[in-house]
Amino acid sequence: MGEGVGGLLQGTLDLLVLRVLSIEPMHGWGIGERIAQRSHEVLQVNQGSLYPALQRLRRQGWIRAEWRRSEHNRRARYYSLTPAGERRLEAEMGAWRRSSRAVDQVLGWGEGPREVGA
Amino acid sequence: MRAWWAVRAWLEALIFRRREDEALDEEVAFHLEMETRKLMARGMDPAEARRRARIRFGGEDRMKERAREARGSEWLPDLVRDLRLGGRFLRRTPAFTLTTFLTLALGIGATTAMFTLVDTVLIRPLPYAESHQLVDVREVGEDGSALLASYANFSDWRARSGSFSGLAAVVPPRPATLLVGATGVRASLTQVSADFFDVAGVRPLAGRVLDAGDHASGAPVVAVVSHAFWSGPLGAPTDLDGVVVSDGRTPVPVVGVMPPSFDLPQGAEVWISLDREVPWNVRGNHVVEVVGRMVAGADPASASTDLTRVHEGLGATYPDVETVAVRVEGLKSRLVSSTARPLALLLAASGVLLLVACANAGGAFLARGVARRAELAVRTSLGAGRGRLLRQLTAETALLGGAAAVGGLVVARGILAAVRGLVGAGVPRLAEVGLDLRVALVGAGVGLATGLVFGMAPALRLTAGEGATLLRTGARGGDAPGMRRLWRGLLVAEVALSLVLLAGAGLLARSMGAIADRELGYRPEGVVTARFHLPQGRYEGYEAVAAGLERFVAELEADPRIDDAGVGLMLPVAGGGDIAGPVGRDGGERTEALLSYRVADPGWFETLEIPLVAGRLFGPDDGSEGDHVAVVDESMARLLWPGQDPVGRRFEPGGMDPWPDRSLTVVGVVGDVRSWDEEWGGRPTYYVSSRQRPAFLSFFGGELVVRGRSPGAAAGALRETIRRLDPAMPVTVRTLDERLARSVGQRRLAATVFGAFAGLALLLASVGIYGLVSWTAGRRRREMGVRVALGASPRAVRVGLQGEVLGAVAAGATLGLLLALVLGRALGSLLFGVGAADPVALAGAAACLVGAAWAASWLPARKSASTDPATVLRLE
Repeated sequence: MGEGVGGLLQGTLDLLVLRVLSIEPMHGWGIGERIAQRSHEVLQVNQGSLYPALQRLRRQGWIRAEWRRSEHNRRARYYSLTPAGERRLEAEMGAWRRSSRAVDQVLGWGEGPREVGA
Repeated sequence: MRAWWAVRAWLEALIFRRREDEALDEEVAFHLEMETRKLMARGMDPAEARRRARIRFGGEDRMKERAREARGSEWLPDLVRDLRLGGRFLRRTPAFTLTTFLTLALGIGATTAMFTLVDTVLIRPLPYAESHQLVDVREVGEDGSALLASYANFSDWRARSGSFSGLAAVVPPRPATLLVGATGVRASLTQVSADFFDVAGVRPLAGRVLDAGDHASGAPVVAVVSHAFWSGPLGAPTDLDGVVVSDGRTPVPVVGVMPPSFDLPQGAEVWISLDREVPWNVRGNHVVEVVGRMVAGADPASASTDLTRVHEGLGATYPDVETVAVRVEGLKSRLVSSTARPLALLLAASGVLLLVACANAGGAFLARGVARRAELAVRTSLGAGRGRLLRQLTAETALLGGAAAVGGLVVARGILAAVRGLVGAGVPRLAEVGLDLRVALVGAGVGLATGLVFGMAPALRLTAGEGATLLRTGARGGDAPGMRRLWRGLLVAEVALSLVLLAGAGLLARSMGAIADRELGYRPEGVVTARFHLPQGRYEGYEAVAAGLERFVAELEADPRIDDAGVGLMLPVAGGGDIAGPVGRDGGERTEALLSYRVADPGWFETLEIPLVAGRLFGPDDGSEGDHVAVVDESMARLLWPGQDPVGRRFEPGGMDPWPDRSLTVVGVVGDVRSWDEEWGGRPTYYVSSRQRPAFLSFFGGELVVRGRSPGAAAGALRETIRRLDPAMPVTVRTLDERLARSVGQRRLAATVFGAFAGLALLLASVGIYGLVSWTAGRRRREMGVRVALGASPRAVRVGLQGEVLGAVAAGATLGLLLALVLGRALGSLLFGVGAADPVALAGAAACLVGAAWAASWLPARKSASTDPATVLRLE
């Protein structure tokens, strides 16, 4: 994908979006901001990917959209999780944890007690 | 739940496409505003903040495009756009478009037409209730041949068999003249026994069918008429009360009208009772068709066994039962049995033609695609994905395939009309044939499948590879990877399939030739025949019939336009029910073999030029008073009196003769006469005198035959004489050649249609080859130019170009020959006098194809080779 720092893996953006929306309904800009804040500005979501991702998730039936008043009393499109989206998030998070632990283990190879002669 | 949200999102996206676009615009505006606000909060001045926000956001249009794609709303407008674009491309290359369209339309049309035929004739059930229970019942002779039943046997079966809920006898329809008011109308009249309409299980559209009262002995005649007769000659009266037809003597009330789909027996227009006057209760008189409705649980095999058992019982009781078994066959399979194989074959042939058309269209698409590679390459480098390009190419093929499907339906209509004209009544159920929704759907399906087959392979091939490669090779005009191989493969397939069709057509044509060359034993050329039926009531008594017919012949012979004239029954064309059964020899035991029985006058032999071998023909003294005499053919003479002089010997005719035990004296021997149809071919035959057996001609009608200097004049004289002597007599005047041609109608249909398909395949293959060579030549013009510039002769260049293609043709032809050898066997009984591996047909087909291929490749190759090298090199 080549989007964001380090190039978010395909599907990772979806996971992050779902996670953000599981806290509270949010509009597109806010979602990007939340991801940046939580990652201490490491993950910068490319807007060119975010909106298509939202459309895709909506089409999958995991999120829904509705117009609300924003904090500045301006009309904004808020996205929120559907029940299916919640289930999806849980499953995705489980999968992510498993694979990230696996990757960690591979990356941490040799950092334990040093092998003789290494 | 999830599905609901998903569907809702998609529907909104699709229906409120504009609204979704506006929503996205608003979201983007909101996003930019928030971003600007954030930057301003960090102390940036508003203009700079807005600029930064916009930069950070990135390419807005590209994002929107991707968002739309993610919504899944774009396929419809995309499709419209693709189709519009495709249409524009197709218009830009009219030669390509037209050729491909015609090619595919022909293939689809042929297949659709043949499918329609097969569907109507073979697949659809007969339009009667529980039609699988309906059967046709025939007697089987000692030699295994099937015969119509005799009425006496039929009534005993009906009384003694438990396999049927009903059995009915039908006298095959014969033409009759009926008076409607004062107008004489030709109608096909049939007599049916009680229960006939119950067996068929069809209720009348109006009025009633024949009931027990109508079938009582001596009851007044009433008629049930077909829908066509009711709506045509009768003028579609709403009230049948008082509607009568007349046979010239008594008025016959019309009591009922059958529905349009009712066609039993085939072609019947007027049904009257058979039982009220059973004509000839002789067991050797095979004149009725028997239809039955089996009880639930019975099948034709068990019913055959049951009826054969009953029939054997009859044989034990009545010595004149000369058949040995009964055969029960499903009515539908009986109706279509002889047609099934030719039709299935033609469907297969049309399928092969369609494949050839697909291969050709595929080649054309490939060639055009190559020409468009530069364009495709540019589009790829500008960011069009492979999926997008594929969709674009598919839209074009779909457009062309759809148009071709429509064109194909038009072609199919034409083919069906032609087939109907070609065979007329020769194929059962043909009247039911019509294009309907089912067929249209099949045609459209075939068109779509065709589009995918011919369109996708080239499209996949064309769009394979990276944009850069595409751009490089496309711009330079090089070949795409594997493209030549693909095209070569298409060509090989096309040639092989065309050869199969050509070989099949060759075999069928050779069969037709063998049939035409067959020694018939008489001379049909120039003979005109009139099939007649004597109007009821005009000729009282058999003496009057004999005298009337003699007068006809005498008047005809007196006409200067006619040289010879005769009268008789059973021309040696297919379809006569003229089996006589075994005869007794000199008062002794009866022969095993069935013989053919014919009625003739001396003029019959003279007109048909059947040679007299020994003795004499019937003479003026062979009247009703004297000895009953017969003329036998050489086969019969050999069978009964091997090595002896048959003239003067006596035999008992048996079977269907009115005097089965009265000896006939042989007065002459004539040459054997053969029919074109093997089934009726080589039976030993004897002729009885029309003057001594007028009863036959009175009951069955007969044939007047004449030979004149020109068939046209003779036919005219024949018609005039008949009109003068008896205007009420229904006749059908045709040349004997025409009759013979009709008797081989199905064979001819198969040969003609197969031939037409083969011709089309050859044409398509030639077009394909021409295209391939032109294309190759165009691709390699530079190379050719260089070679010619370096001193290669144009001839060498041409030969090189042609050689490559002809190599593929040779490979295809070899493959085709092998296929033809295997598939030729499927032609089976359609072949006559040639083997399935007939070398003349196969070699001829191969020569034809290779010749066409050479010619098709020579033209473009020569053109390419003779171009001035300087021009070519300058061009590049």
